[in-house]
Amino acid sequence: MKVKLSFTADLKYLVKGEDGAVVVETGEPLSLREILESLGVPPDKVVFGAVDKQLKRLDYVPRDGETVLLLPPISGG
Amino acid sequence: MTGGFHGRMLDINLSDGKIEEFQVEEDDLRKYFGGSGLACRMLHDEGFERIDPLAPESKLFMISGLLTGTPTPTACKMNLCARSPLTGIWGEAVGGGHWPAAFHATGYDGIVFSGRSSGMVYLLMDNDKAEIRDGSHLRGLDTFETHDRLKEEHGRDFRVACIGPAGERGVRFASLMIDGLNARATGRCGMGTVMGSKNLKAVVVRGNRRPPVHDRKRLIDALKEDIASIKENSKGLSEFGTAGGVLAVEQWGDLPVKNWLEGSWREGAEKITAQTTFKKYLVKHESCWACPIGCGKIIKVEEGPFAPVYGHAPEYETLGGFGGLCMNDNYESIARANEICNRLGMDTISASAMVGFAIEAYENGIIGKEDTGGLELGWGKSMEIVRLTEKIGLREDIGDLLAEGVRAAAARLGPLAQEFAIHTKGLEFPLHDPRAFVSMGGNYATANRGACHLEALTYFLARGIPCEDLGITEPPNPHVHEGKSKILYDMQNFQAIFNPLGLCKFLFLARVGPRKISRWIELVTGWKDYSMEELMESGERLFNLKRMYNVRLGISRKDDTLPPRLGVWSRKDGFSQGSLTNLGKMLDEYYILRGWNEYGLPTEKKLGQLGLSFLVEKLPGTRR
Repeated sequence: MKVKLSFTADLKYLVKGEDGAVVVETGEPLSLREILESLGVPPDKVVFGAVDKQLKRLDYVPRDGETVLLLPPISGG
Repeated sequence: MTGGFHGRMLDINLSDGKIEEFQVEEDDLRKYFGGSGLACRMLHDEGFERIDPLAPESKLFMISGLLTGTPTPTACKMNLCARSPLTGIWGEAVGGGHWPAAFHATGYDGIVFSGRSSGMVYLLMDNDKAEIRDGSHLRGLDTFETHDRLKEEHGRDFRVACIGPAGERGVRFASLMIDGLNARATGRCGMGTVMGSKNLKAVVVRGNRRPPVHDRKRLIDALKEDIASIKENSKGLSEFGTAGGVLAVEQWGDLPVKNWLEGSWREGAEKITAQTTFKKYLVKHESCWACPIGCGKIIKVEEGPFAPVYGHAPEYETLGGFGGLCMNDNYESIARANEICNRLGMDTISASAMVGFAIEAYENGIIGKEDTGGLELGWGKSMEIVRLTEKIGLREDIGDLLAEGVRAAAARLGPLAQEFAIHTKGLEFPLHDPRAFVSMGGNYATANRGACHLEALTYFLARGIPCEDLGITEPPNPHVHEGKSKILYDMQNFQAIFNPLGLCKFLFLARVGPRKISRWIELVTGWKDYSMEELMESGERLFNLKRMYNVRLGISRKDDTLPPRLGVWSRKDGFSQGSLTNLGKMLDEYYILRGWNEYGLPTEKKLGQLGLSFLVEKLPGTRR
C-alpha cells in the first residue's frame, strides 16, 4: 500500500523530497509512528498527522492512497 | 529575610524628589512573590480607581522577581506595573536582558514611583546610593542614543533602561527598553507611557550586592542536570529564536493574515521566517542573564531601501504583526519597523496592530491621504508600513490618533472601524489566533491584561510541549472544546507564577514544570518543604489578585469577550478554517472551576480559600 506524507513547515528540512512530500510503500498497514521510524525521522519531531484537516495521533494507521499532513511542534513568541 | 530578596525597596516621589526606604514583609513574599505579585498586592492598598493612569498620583512599580539575579535559570526579569493608560485596567510588562539582574544587585528589590518631575530626570543607582539626576539633555533622544549617552557619562559597567520619544509623547503603548540595541522590551500595556508622564527618562544601575541564596551549593548542584536538560529541549529557540516559528505557526492556521481576515500566507511566511532570513542577516546570538536558552538574535541589514538596520532581530510577534497581519513579505522592512519601535520605545504588537487597522481603514475609505500625511496605505506596501510606524511613534498626522490604541481610534473613526478593531479590554491582540486553538479564545477573554497570550500559552501544549506535572502528557486537539476549560485554568495558574518569580516563560517550552521550579524556590529562599502544590496555589492566588484589581475597576463577564472578527468569523482557508471558540460554554465551565459566580466575580469563599479575604469588601453588590 502507498501513503503520501507531507512534511509541513520546518519539518520539510528533515526529508529529501519535493517540497517535503514523500511517498511511502509498505507491505502491511503501519501506524504513522512506525512509518516515521522507518524513514529515520524521530517521531517527537511531529505532533499530529492530519487527513482532510482531521487531526490524527501518531498511532493512526493511514489507509492506502491517503495523504497525511504532518504538523510540527513549536514555536513562536 | 528570605533568600532571593533583600527586603528593601524605595519609595520615590518625583514631584518633590523625596526618596524613602521601606521594608518588604516576608509573609507577603511567600504569598505573592516579588514583581507583579507584590506590586498588585501593594496597589490594592491604594485608591487607584479614582486616579487617571497618567496623573502624577498614579503609582508605577518597578520590582524584581523573587529569584531575579540568582543563578536560577532564566532568572532575568523585572516587572513594571501600574494601571494601564491603554486599557484602563491592570497593567503589567516584563523585561529581561542584563539590566534587571544589575538592578537587583543594587541591594534594593524594587521602586515605587509617584508624582511628576517638573523637568526630565533619570534615576542613577550605584549600589544602594540612589539619586535623581537632571535629564534635560536626554529629552527627544531615542532609546539607543539614550543608552549610549548614559553609559558614556557614567561608565560601561552601568546598565541602562529607558524610554524613547514615544513614551515622552504619550503614545499609549510606549515601552521601557533595556540594554540598548539588544533591545529587550518591557513592552505591553503602556508602562513606558506612565514613565513618560512622570518625566522619568531612564533608570541607570550598577551593583555588586547580589540577592542572598539560602543554599547556593545545593542549588548549583541541582542546576547542573537541569541546565543540560533545558539546553537539550530548547535547541530550536537557541538556533533561531522565536523568529523560527513563523512557518509552523502559519501551518497551524495560527498566523494572522490581512488584519485577521484571511487564512493562509504560506509564501509570505517562507520569505520572512528565520530559517530563510538568518542566512543573510544574522550577526550573533545573545542571551539574557542566567539563561541557558539564548533566544536573542542580532541582525544587520546593510543594503537596500530599509538599511541600515543593526540590532535585535524582529521576534515572532513582530514578524507576525508587520508581516502576516499587514501582508508584508519584505523582511528588511519588518526589520526596519522593528528598529523604529525599539528606538522610539513602543510595543511592536500594538504598533503593528495599529498599522494593520489603519490599512483596513484606508482601504474602506474611512481615512485618506489627507489624514496620513500623503501616505497611500495598502496591504503589503512595505515603505508605507515603515513610515506609518514612525508617524505613530512620533504622533504625526494620523499617527496621533493611532497612538491612542485601537479601541480609542475606532471609537473616533466610527462603527465600521469598530468591526476591525481587534482587541479585548482595550489591549491589541498578539499574533496567535484563538480560532486555531480554542483554549486561547477562553484565555484572551479572561486574561488580566486583556488580549494577552502569555497568561496561558496553551497553544504550545497542542504543538507538542507537554506539562507532565499538570497531567498533560498528550497534545490536546486544538479545535475540540472538551477538557479545554480545565487546561486553561491550570495553565493560567501555572503561567501566573513566572513574572513574580522573575523567570522566563520559555522554561515551559524547555519542559520545566512547576515541580522543578518549586525545588529551585526552596533552595533559593529556604522556605521549608516548599511544594509544587503551594506554588500552584500561589499561581491561583496571583491570578485572582489581579482579577480583583480589575473587578474594582468594573470588570465582569460583560468584558470577557472576543472581538467579532475572532469570535464569530471563521478563517476562510488554512488549517483552522471553520474553527471557533464557543465562548459562552467555555466561560460557564471556567467560572465554576475558578470558584467565580456567573458574572465572573470571585466569590467570598474563593477569596477566603486563597488568603484574599481582605478583598471581599471590594466585591460589587451590597447584598452578597
